[in-house]
Amino acid sequence: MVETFAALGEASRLRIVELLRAGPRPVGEIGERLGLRQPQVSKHLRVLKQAGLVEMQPRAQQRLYELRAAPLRELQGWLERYRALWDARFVALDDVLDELKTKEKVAHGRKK
Amino acid sequence: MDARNDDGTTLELPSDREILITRSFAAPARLVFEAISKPEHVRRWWAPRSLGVSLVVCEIDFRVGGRWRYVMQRNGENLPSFSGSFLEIQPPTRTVQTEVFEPFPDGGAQVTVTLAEADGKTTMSNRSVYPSQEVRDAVIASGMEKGMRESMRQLTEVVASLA
Repeated sequence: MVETFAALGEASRLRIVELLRAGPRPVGEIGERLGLRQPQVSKHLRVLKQAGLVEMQPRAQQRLYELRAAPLRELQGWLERYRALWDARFVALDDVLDELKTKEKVAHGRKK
Repeated sequence: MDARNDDGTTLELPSDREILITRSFAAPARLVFEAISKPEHVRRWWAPRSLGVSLVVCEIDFRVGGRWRYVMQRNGENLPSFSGSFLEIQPPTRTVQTEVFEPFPDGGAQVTVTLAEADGKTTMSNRSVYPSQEVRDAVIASGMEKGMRESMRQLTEVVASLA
């Protein structure tokens, strides 16, 4: 997870990942689309590959880089668990609020 | 732990250093404000029993400059504390506070809570801005189950090695 976050924590790499969501592409095209020089793209792809986020596929004369969904799904799961923590807090907060509302009604009733 | 799909709690990461959590409540803003600022209420919801955690420390000195500190416990083991101080208090719509997560004593976050009431319902948004992506990610990991806490330790090591 640390690796996934670290790999995605750089703006150009995040843009590469976003671009590859549409499908596999060769280094040259990635560079062209994002306005990056090829050595830079290769460097970023190396980091993404180490983090397991992309895979290289040889196809005919080309080397295509393809996104791997597993680490992204894992990241999604990680965030989902944090969201679930807050959701569990808020479900408990709903109960507290129900009680406060009831107390207020009772207090209001007494005043009358 | 029951899986609820109708909860409406949303989590967004607006930037590398932020977490934004939003939820709507069937209560007026003044009651939500009370429930999030008084320790006797916070004690009951901040560490949800449904997740096997409890809040063993809940101190809130609710005034500008006042300090707060929460410690959760899981399986009899204290988790790293969250603490900070209040920068702004505007009942019943807004609070701004600092938040320090114990493993990162030098990296305080700023948390802005806003409450917007409409038709008797209140939407709470909780925006946290962390000093770095590492701290933010460690905070996300703090709410995790055992295996996930391992990740947090790794993150702590990564951050230590960068320092």
